[in-house]
Amino acid sequence: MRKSTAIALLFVVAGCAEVPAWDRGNLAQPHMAPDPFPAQRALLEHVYSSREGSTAGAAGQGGGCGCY
Amino acid sequence: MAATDAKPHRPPRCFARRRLPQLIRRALGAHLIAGGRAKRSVPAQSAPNSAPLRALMVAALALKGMAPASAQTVEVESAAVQFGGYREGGTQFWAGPNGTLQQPSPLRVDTFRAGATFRMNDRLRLGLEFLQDTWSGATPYITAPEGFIQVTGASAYVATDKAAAAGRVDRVTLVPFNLQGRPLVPQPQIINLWTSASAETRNQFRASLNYEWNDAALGVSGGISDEPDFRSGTIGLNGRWDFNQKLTSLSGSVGYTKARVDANLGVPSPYVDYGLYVNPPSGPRIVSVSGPGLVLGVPSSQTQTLRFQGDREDVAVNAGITQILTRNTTVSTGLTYSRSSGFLENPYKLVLLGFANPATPPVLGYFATNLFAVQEKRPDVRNQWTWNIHLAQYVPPANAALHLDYAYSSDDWGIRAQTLAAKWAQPLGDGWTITPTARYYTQSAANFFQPYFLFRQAYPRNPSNAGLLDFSRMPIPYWSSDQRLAGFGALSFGLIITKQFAKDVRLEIGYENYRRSGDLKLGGGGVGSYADLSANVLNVGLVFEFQNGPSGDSGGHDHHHPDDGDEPQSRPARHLGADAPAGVMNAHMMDVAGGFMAAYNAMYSRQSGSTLGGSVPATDAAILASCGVQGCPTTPSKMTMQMHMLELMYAPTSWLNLMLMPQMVAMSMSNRILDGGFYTPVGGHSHAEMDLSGHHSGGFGDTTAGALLQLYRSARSEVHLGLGLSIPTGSINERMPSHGNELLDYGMQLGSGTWDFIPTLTYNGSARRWTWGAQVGMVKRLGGPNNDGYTLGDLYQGTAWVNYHLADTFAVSLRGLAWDQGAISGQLKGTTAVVDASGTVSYPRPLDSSAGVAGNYGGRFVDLGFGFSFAVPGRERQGDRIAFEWLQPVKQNVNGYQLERTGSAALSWRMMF
Repeated sequence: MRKSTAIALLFVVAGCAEVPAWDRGNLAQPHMAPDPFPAQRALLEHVYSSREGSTAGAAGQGGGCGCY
Repeated sequence: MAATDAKPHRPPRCFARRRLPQLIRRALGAHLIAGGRAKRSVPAQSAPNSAPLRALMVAALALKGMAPASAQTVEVESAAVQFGGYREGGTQFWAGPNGTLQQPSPLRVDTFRAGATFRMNDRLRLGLEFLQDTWSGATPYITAPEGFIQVTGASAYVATDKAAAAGRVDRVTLVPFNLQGRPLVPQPQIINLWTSASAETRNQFRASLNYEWNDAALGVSGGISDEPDFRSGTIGLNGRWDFNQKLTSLSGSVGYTKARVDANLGVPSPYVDYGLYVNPPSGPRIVSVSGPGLVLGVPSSQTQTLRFQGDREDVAVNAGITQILTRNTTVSTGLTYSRSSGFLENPYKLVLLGFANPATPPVLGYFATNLFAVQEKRPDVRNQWTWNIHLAQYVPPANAALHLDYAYSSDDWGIRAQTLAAKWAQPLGDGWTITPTARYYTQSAANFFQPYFLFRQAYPRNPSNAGLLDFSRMPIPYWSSDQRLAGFGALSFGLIITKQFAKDVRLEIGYENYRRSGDLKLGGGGVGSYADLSANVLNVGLVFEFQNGPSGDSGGHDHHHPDDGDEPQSRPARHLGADAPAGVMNAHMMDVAGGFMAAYNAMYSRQSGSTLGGSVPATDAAILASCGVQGCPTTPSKMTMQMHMLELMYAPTSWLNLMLMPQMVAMSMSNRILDGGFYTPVGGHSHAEMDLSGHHSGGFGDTTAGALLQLYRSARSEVHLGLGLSIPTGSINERMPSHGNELLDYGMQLGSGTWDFIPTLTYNGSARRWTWGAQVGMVKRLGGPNNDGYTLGDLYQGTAWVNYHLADTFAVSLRGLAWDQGAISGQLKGTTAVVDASGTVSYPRPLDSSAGVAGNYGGRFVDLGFGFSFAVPGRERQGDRIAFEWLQPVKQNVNGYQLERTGSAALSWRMMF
């Protein structure tokens, strides 16, 4: 509960933050992309989903059976 | 994402003027192709000769602001190729009380992935992706305490004696005792029993379309995944909306997947009670199908094998928000709900159910326990919620990016899982980035998971068949011993290294070591160490991000401007051989020092129809005779081969090119029963019931390294010598688990097992709209026999082709190809040592098919090839081409008896830098 309050607060604070478009150069760098290595992620997620009981956040992707 | 908005944007609008003539030319090129032969005399670069067309185009382009600068052009934006390997280890193996059990090969997965995105216009992008993976090796299929396991020779199985209560457990604690004899010894240690599955290859295609507005995006995607036991189709919709000056983005997605399971359980096992899924009123079911195999050791096309079939559906809905917090920080969080329904069981896992009978006479000192091995049973529905949060923090002093991820998921099966992952992406300069990664995962067990199940009651006896279970009277509704559903933790550490070459090409190498263990579960209480495993995951990929923008100049190539009146042949020296038909290797040589080429080559070939003896259809009696006194029960009825190759070429000087060609292969074979065929067991292997319907294999093949040397070059022709060496990286240890783990036949191994010398001599010529070429080459085996005891035959081949350029961007090809491959020398080794009267040891291999006879390989062949090629949109200046070719057999004269070749298809995508 305390955690979710903190996160909510974070967003409220964020709403006030002003980062003009010309000041987002750091955020635009390739290694700051939300998913900087999509090919790595795709391969590893298939590994995780065939070895773990919960494919956290990656449901319904329509991959193979992975039933080994 | 909002963060990407600061990236340099699309080309300035003023470029439309420079671009205009090219657009006209492209439109005309397409027009010419459609017009066919009648327009042949018109040079491709001349002005439109159709007045209405010209008027229309000029009018359309004159409308200011009607379309973005490059709205009419399709351009390739990026492409990627990736090879991946997964190798499992760290699993516990129990060799049995006398150490007689053989440890099976560990699980192995080889993956190949290729994809590309195309910019259809400023706002619309098309993504295409192909993925293939092949897995093989051993997996645990049942778990049991040592006391319930029977070992006979090299086989171990759970003592599921249907006639009598085989197991014995303590009357109070229910701890299992030894299976037989006195004194009673507790043997509770939990053991995984392993089975080696035959290799299985999966193909997956995905396509996506994404449309961008200034403040929003919408995408649709679809895909299919196909493997012998599982086929699925998926569709998805995703969207994004930016607001608050793009400081905030909302995103959402919906996905739907439908899958059909058709798992081959092999010939029925006397140790398994299949009753739960035989003739159920609804849901997954086990059915019996007939196919080629052995019944009581005799070949039969009516051999019964079991198939476990059913359907499943998955729906997932996700909503998320991304927020720019500071000039260095973004955070995103999302919630996903997914619902799975239908066939959610793992079809290959069995569960041990033990019933300790309290009515056992006390004098025996134990409870007599009936043991059953049954398929698992899971709920038909699973609802799962996942919350995740991602933080990306730029660290200015180091110019690094820290990525932190956390996810929590909970489902109605009782699995609560948490994932914590971190990445530190550190650019090092000179194009290098090094990224250490760490991940921790923990989950609680599903509430119906146990290593095995033991009940203090007499077993619910099937009224119509004593010795089998009555599944309507089970003490629990669901059961599974699949270790994925156990409580455990997993810890992994990895490293991603990327190197940017020039502007367009990035090499990406990823490695991760993964360790799963019950001891790593958060809060303790995880599954026993029998379920531990570890794995190494390594992948190497190349990513091409083309800066084709109109002002972009890749690799310093001259701008091949459409207005200069050049024909495509005006610069023949640079692209000689680059338009060779798709099936020709080493045809193109770069003559600019520092040049780099990457090509993706795919080949598919198929054999089906008649079995030839020489060049005419053969009788079954003749085919059988080729198997000799040993005989053979089957002969191939269909064979397919797929190959995916990456070809990398670098020119250190203008007269020398160095090349490296890794590849992945996948083979599949179906059999039919040979009339009068018979099977002769060798050594101890006399499997009375055997499924011989077909075999699969796949994985990394041999890798060729080599050099091209320029011997002659003029403006319109050139000759080069290729010196290739094939390195035996492909496995020749592919086996048949359903057939005593014998080696698969010669044609199903992934490599030659020998170092092979591959010289080629290539000639290319051109004149106006025509280009042509010829090549002679050979494959000479160096040394041998290989570790399996044989050497593939040498190969000699010659080919000649001609291309006609119907337009600047499109050409058709015609090719002749002839080759002669020698027979195999030596013989595949069997698994059983046989000592003859004189004391000589040999390893004869039982013959399951005429494809196991060395004399039935090689021959002389002539093919005719029909192909076309086109310039990659947006990459015309670089000379990038996509080519396709169909090879039609016209003459076949095989050694011995072989299935007729029905044709091959080849695809190649060549990219120059």
